[in-house]
Amino acid sequence: MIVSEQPIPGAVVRPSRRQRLRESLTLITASKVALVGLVIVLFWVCVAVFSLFTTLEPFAQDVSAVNSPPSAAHPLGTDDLGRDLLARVVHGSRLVLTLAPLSVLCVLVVGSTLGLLSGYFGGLVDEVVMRVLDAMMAFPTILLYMIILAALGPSTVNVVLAITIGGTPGIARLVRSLALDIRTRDYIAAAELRGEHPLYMMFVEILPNARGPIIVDSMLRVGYAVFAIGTLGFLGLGVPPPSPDWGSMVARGRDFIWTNPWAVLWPALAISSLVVGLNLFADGLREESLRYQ
Amino acid sequence: MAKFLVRRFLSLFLTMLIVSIAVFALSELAPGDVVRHMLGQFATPEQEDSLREQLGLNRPVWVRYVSWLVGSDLLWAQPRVGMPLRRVIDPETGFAEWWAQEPDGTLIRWTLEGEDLIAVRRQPDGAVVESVDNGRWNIDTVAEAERLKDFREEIVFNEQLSLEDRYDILQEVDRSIEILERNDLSKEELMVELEGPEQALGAMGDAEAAALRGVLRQESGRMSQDDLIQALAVARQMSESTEPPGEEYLRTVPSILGRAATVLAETRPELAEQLRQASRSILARKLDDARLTLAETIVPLSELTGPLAELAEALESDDYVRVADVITGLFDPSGGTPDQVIMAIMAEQFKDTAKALGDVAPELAEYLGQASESLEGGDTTTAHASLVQAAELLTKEGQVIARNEAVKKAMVGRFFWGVDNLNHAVKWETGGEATFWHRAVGAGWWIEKAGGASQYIPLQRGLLRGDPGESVRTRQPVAVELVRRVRNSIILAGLAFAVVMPLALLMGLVAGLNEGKPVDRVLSIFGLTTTASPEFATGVFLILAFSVWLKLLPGATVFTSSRTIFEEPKMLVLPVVTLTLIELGYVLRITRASMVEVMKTSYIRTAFLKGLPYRRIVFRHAVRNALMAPITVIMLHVNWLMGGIVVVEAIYGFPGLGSYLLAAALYKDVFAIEAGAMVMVVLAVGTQLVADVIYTFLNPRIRYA
Repeated sequence: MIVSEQPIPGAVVRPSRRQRLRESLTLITASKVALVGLVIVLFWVCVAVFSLFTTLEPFAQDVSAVNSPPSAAHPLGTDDLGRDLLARVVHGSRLVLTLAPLSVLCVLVVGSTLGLLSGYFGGLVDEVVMRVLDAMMAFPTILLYMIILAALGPSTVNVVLAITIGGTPGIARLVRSLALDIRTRDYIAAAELRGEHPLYMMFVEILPNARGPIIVDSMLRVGYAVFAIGTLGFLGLGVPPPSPDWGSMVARGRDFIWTNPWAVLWPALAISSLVVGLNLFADGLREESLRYQ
Repeated sequence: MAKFLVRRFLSLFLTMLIVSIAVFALSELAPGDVVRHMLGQFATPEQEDSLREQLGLNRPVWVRYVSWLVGSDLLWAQPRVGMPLRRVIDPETGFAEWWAQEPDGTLIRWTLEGEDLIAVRRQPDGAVVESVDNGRWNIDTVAEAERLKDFREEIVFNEQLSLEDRYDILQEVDRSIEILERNDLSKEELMVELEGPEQALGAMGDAEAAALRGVLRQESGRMSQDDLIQALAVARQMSESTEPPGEEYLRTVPSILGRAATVLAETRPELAEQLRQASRSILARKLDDARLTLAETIVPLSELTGPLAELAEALESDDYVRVADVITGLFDPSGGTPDQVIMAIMAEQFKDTAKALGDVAPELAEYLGQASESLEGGDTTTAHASLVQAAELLTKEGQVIARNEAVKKAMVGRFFWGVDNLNHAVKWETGGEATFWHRAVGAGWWIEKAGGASQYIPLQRGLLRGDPGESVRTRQPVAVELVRRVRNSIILAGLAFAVVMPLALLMGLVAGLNEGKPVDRVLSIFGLTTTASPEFATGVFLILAFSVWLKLLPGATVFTSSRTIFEEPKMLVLPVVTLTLIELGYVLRITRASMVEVMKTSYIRTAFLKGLPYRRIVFRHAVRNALMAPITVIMLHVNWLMGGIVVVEAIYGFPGLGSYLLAAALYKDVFAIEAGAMVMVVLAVGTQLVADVIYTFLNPRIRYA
């Protein structure tokens, strides 16, 4: 049998894996803004990985150096309990870079499911889901966080839960609008004629074809999750002490700001640089992908 | 248009309903509740239940929801009290007071003094007149007869009483039962008939014994609050409980351990050092270290506190024979050399108890005082002798107390539904077995006493009638505080808005007109950075720069009165700047995008082709169209802005709605959270509604659709 090397006329040539990788790379590098953002984010990812191997102790107390400015022993200084700020900032990066993607993943799973259900089935399901989500969106997010965390008590799991509940309506609406659009395509009609199960339709036919905008949106959402984790920590509703959460470090250092500005400066710098980096990256990416379309 | 508005209002109403239920359901979920916050870690379950009852938190959820929404007075309180209830606002303090209204219009409420019901009548000028009002008591004859029959069985075998006492009490109880079971008596006749046995029983009672019992129970409460006993409780809790301790608990623990360490500093330095070390470990949240250290302190601590704990427990359970045993056993000369620490502890306890007993039982107080002095002098033999005498006296007093208690239970119980002076509809009960927990004013802990309120309905008019309840934390009406806080927040947000809008629109227009040029790049990235950066980080940078280093502006807002906000504008600078920076980038980006879009439209191109001057094209044609989007979008952005306001208020300690809600959430102050949340949602949804309406008016395509 002779296998034709010629592509079938009219068929779309699917780019190879390498080609696609190169394409995404050019997409990123084309925008200087995105590149700067990527560098900042990569820096923090490296720091987080580094924290796995370092001997820096975020909980060790140096009683002889409480609230001390940067020195040889403590390159960034210490906090009011004599804990090394470098160690805490480094370990804090791992905490936030684990929790933020995790919560975005949860948001994606819950939000996509609701959005797909709503967009694919339409009718009563759509009406019910959308009314509930509308009510949730009318709720100021900060209020949602405060009430959920006040009721359930601050803990790592509850922080992820609160962020998931707060972020779900946004993703669900996005996925719903994409699903409404995709549902009208011919390949969906073809699959329906084959008699595929609705679950197959939603998760195999529709979801993969909606991934582009979802990915860009989730990049923005990681930035927002970092933001939210920090804010919750600052308000005393986040991951409970003594974990080296940047937000709670700032809140604690805020009481000693006159004697020891370093204890607030470093975690505040860390969280703003990471959030700004993520936003620059996501924003540059979105603009470039819009330009390609 | 009208249809659209009606639909929006209906959906607003629906949202509010869902929100109110959601807020309520979530505050129901709360595992660590407000009662534990108010009473602290060492309250007993009975005390917690009592407070929960007084706050109305033990009623079913739906009852609480309905009371909160439309009030508890009409549905629940009025039918029980049987008189109309009125809410009077004190013109000076702004506090709300609830009164019942008599048929002639006089406002009345009641207090209970001893066994007497005192009516407090409010005169038109606000002054109050008190008078005894025992005529209002009711008797549940069937239930009381049942109870007395059960009590009859019990008294026969009560070994604490002498046979003679038992016989006398039984006789009166039988008389009461007989009267109660006669069905042909009116309420007045019943009261008159019951006077016979009541007076006979009253003669057997002993007011001094009752007072003595009260003081001794109070002393038992005080003893169990001893520093070392508390430290022991902490050590047990920390090392034996498998559940991780709560954050609030951990916050109170170090000071308890510290106090115990101070007590032991001289006599038991090693033990004191262990406690201090555990306290340090807890501060650094090294809980496992703390557990191990504390586990070692359990045995020595329980040895030291053993006698005191036993004494407190015996007093608590009214077992005076055991109390006498414990006291006699203390410092028994045949029992070896007594421990210095125990001597010091007991000397101090006896001294305090002697002081408390001073007026009630002078003889007992004197023996205890002597014992305390001898112990301080190190003379345990004399101390022991004094204690033996005190124990003998206590055994005798114990019998009188037991008789007094039995006599109280033998009385026929009465009840009355009225209004108390803390804005509850209250069911008072006297006689019978009624004992209730009360907060002892000034003592700081709760004591149990006979006669008192057994059921509470907190009176409120309900959110829909303008009364969202009372803050559990401050005991003030939520509405009064909320109005002030909302005003402050609106001033803050309004100022920020007034700064942001012109600035951001201008910068956005400039950036949009220069799309892709360096000006645009700089402005866009500046906007992105300030908006993306968390509010608390921005705020901290500003404080560091302007207060800590440059010392130009105050880094916190300290409001001494409600007028401070107008008198000290300097305090508002940093909060307003922080909010401005956050919003600036957002509005800027939207204006820029909108401007870019407008500049690409065909009518702008036409204008260019017609040869109109650039200035005229921009100001007459482009700007007007470009501003429509940002003005409406900023309104939709209000949810986001609220997050900013909460954080900014937390950074600067600004007394606004956000910080009120945050404090309420952290304290689990249910009524404050619920009311604050509703206000916030109304503001958020309301602005969105306004934005929709404005947009509809501005956009002819929607208006005429």
